[in-house]
Amino acid sequence: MSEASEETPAIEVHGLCNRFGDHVVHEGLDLVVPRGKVVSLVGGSGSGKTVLLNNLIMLTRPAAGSIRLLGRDVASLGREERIRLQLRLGVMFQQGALFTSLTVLENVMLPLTEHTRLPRQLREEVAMLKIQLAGLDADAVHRHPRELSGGMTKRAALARALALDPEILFLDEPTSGLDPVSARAFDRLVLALRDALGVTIFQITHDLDSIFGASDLVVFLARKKVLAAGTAEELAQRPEPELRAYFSARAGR
Amino acid sequence: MDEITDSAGARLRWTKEPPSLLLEGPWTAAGVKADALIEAATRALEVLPAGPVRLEAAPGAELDTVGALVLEHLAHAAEDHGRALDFSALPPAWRATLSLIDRVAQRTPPPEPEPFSGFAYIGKVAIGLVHHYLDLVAFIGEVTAHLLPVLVRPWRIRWREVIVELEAAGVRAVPIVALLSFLIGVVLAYQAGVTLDRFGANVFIADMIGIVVLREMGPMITAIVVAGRTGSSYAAQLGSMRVTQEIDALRSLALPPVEMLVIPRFVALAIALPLLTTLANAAGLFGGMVVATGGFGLDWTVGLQRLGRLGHAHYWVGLVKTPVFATAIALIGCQAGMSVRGSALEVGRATTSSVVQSIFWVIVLDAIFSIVFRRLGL
Repeated sequence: MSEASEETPAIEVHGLCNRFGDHVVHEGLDLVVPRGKVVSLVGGSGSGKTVLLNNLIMLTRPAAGSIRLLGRDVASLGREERIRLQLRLGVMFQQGALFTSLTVLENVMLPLTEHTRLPRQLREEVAMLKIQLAGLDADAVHRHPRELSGGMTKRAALARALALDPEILFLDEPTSGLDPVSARAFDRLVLALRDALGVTIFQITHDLDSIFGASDLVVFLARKKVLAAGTAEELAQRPEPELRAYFSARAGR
Repeated sequence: MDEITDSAGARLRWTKEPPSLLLEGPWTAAGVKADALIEAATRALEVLPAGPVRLEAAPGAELDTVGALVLEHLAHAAEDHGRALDFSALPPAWRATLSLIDRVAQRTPPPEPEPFSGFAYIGKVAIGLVHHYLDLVAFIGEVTAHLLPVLVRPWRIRWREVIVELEAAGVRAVPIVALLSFLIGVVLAYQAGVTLDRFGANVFIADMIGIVVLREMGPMITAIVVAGRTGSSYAAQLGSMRVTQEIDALRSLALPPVEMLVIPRFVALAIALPLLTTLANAAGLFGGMVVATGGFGLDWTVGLQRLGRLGHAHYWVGLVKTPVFATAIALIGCQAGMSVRGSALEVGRATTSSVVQSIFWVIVLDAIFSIVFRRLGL
């Protein structure tokens, strides 16, 4: 990573609007995500977390507003530049979205095969590296997705998201459906990836333990915009009713 | 100082005093050519004076995990030549990446499980077939066990579901069945007409299409269309209900899925198929008559008289087969759906297999009927 790029934030969103027909999801949403941090996007159901994520990973275009990823304005990119930028992002979908016809190893190798010119042996080594970094056992690599448990699916999906050494890693509810032990292990893994590879991690999560224990920055989505951003402890002290309701769920436990 | 360059990507320079390698450019997935770099490094090592060789990163050089893996290969290649590489002068971030990959235990994938040899494959397929038919027989038993009690007390059949299925399997199939049968009648009349015309036996075109449509084509075409339309949709519906655990939910609520889902579909198809076949017969005869009168000069009245003289037996011989076809299609479709295990991929497989199997069995059953009717002299 060069010196200049360190200074630009990983994600800069300005004046973002999204609407479906008459239903306005976001209106004038601003967001800045610094590099090398674990950022959790939090908000009630229907607050537009997934819509925002789909904008950020360039699957959908917002109705208005600008998105800059790694210093590049997404809307102004040509086809080639878009692809090059996409390759610098890693996405882990909520259900894993592993390709069912491919084994775990083939799933992780697919982006390497399609987007690099590395020899096969090196591709395999890279894939094995990412699979084990994601915490999956090396013996599982020849299994098909249907033969994996929920936790293993998440890890395999993470390995595929990591395949091309992304600079921003998007995780959609990475700990949902995991038991508490696996969920905390996943949190530690996310922090380890941040420290070891310097990846910026942007995750949607409902898991209060991840929010408090494994996030550098928490972004709270409500009233069609970012209502508050800060550490989890700061947000828990805020007076807004939405935040109080959200965080009192933890206090009430 | 000498330079070994791969102009677009990662580069390697070496200095003799002190012996060091300078890494330049993007040592990344996009930038490295592993073999060339290793070869270059080996050549450099031959020139460099003895002692550990220090690695340095040039300003602006980048490293990702792929580059780190290549560096590790460099170190191994150096070791093979009795040389040691010194990583200590690299930036901390690079050393972090290197130590990250150092922690990973297994570098190469374990050997793939042996694919089945041809012989073992035949065995596997055979065992799979046996299991499949055992499952099918068990399923037939289960359906019969649920069906007999409700046949005695028909008010216990879920008629609401039956009517919904009747609409889907019957009413909505009317256009396609009518059109296909009409065209089959047209084709048959042309084929028969060309030959019969030569003998001046045009009047027999009506007899010919009457017999073929009523006995064989009407019931068969309808059954095949229904197998493709409805058998497959049964498999897909029940299969996706298995994937979403709806079937398990029914069981947990003490609602037998066979009674809730299979019996209504089965009853609906057993009602719809004879009716559709009758429609197909009419459309087929009409198509045949259109060609016979229009193309081969047969008089409508004469044609209808010939048809009228055929006797009802042909119609009933054709129609008696349809409940049997309906049973086969419904059972195969529902069983394929209920046998889905796990993923959505299985639903597609079950759907395809249900269509292939039901068409296969429709034709096999039809052949058996032909033999039986022949023996009975019908």
